[in-house]
Amino acid sequence: MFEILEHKGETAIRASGKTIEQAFEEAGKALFSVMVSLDSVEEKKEINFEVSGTKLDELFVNFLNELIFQSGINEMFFSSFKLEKIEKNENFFLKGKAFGEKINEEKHDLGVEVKAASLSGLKVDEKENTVQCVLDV
Amino acid sequence: MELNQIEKFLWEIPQEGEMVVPARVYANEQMVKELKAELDSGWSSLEQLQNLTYLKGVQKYALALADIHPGYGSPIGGVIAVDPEDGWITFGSVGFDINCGVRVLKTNLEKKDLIKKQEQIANQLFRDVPAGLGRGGEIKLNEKEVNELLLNGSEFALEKGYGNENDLKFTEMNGKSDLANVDAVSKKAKQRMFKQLGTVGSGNHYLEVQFVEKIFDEEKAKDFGLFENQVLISIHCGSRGCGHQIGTDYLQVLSDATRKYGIKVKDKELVSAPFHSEEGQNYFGAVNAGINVAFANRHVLAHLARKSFEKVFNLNEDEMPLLYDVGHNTAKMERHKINGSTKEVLVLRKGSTRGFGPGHKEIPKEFQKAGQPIAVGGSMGTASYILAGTKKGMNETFGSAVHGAGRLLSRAQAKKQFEGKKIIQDLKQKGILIKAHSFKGAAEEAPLAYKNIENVIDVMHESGVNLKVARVMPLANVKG
Repeated sequence: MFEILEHKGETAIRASGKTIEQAFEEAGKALFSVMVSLDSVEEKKEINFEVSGTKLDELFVNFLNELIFQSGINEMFFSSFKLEKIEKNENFFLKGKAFGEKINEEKHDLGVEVKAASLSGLKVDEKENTVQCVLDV
Repeated sequence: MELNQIEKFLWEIPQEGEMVVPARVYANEQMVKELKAELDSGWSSLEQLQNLTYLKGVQKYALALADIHPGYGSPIGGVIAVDPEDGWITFGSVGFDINCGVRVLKTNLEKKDLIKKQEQIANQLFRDVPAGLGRGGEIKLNEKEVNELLLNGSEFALEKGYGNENDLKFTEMNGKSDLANVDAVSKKAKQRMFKQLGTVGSGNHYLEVQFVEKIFDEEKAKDFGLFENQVLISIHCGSRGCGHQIGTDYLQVLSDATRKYGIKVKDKELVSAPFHSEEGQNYFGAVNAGINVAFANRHVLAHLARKSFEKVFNLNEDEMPLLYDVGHNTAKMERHKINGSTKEVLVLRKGSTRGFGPGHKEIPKEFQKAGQPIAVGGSMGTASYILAGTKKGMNETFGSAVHGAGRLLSRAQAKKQFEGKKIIQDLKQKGILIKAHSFKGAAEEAPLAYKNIENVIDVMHESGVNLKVARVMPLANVKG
């Protein structure tokens, strides 16, 4: 589950799931829902990615920013995500897949580009499995 | 929070507790009322402004101009000057869209000439100028070329055959920061520039055809080469994916540095490093490389816009000279008067334009008398302004100016209240053509979602910090 929160200058997102990984996956959808109507994106291709972070909340922001990077260089929108369990050694680490297709202005109902996920308003709650942050749009 | 009125349009949060300096904001009484109402909303720009006063090395006061609104870390419209010897460089006062800014081209056309082919030029620009989400440009660069771009900014674009020498002369820093460090920019950031040189992007970025509706200061307008009913072309955008990625990369670097150096910040987004530390220097060098990307990007976009005008109006490049190009998310070394003596400081502007006053050696000789031109972008369908920098601004605002109208409604609220298609129809009735890649984006940028730009400009003009030269109105707008 995810929602878009009120924020005067930028856009904030909040997401939750049964596990923290699922909350991350939902936040990925929240991120792309700002850029495009998710319903209009078909899952034609998958992209593998890996992300690390010094802390769990920073891993979360780095995860969203990795999705923005992958979307940018592959010129794709993603509409769903599958993450493996987050590993914690010295740093936090996760592996995952993003599913989507090439950006097509004719087909996709466009929103606005997200420049990046920020640390502002950042909350990652491992007990409640909820995540939140502000996006720069 | 205590907020004291110290001049008619200037308010101060007094220094207390661990604040290093006080904070100041330019505002009228209505704006102050709105800022105070925001305090309990969870996203308060006054609190964000106050947070800047705790950063080590901040000089005189943390400052916000009249277009203040909540950002992440620093408020939008925020400026700080930091002592480079022992101060910190903070992420929040630059943000992700490094050197996002405005470039204004002049033409010798008048409004009446433009209107004859209004639809045609709007469509031509929509075709020729890549805008919108995920839209790459025609120019493909390899890694070696991206390195040159990062190092040389607009000079790179000029060597590639775009624009002319005068374009460099009339760009802040002549379109090139000498402090760029290419090695401090990641492979990922470089990769994101392979296809994005000469693209507008989306959100509040645009290319707009405008006309000078009113001149407020004949003498300065003459020095700027502006006259009533003159058609202008205004380009608002930044350093694209490359700049965003530089920001993203350094968010983690500076988060780690904040812990390493035991820095305490009031907002996570204000993660910082001592300016002279390895992390601080790398960040500064990478930001300056991002600054170069944005200059070059607007340089190429100006070339594309000129080509469209050549096709439709048969103008040549010399008939569309650059008025000026200036950025508004930057980290730079500048000399300013601090408590009586002039010294070099690190100036961080987040949603604030550089606006140097008359006689400053870093502005072209044509503007020595009038002061630097400052382009202030309005919201879609409303007025924009050309202002001039002043000596008062040099003394009071570290030579800084407002950058836009400032949002009134959140993007979510705007989307609830307005419908993109309807707004575009309404504006067409008023003689303004909007060519948008996204109707949702158009709704978010609805004129009523922004503060009244007139109030913002009046506060700065009445304060004597930025002076009104001309008001310009839109005729056609290409949005991402």
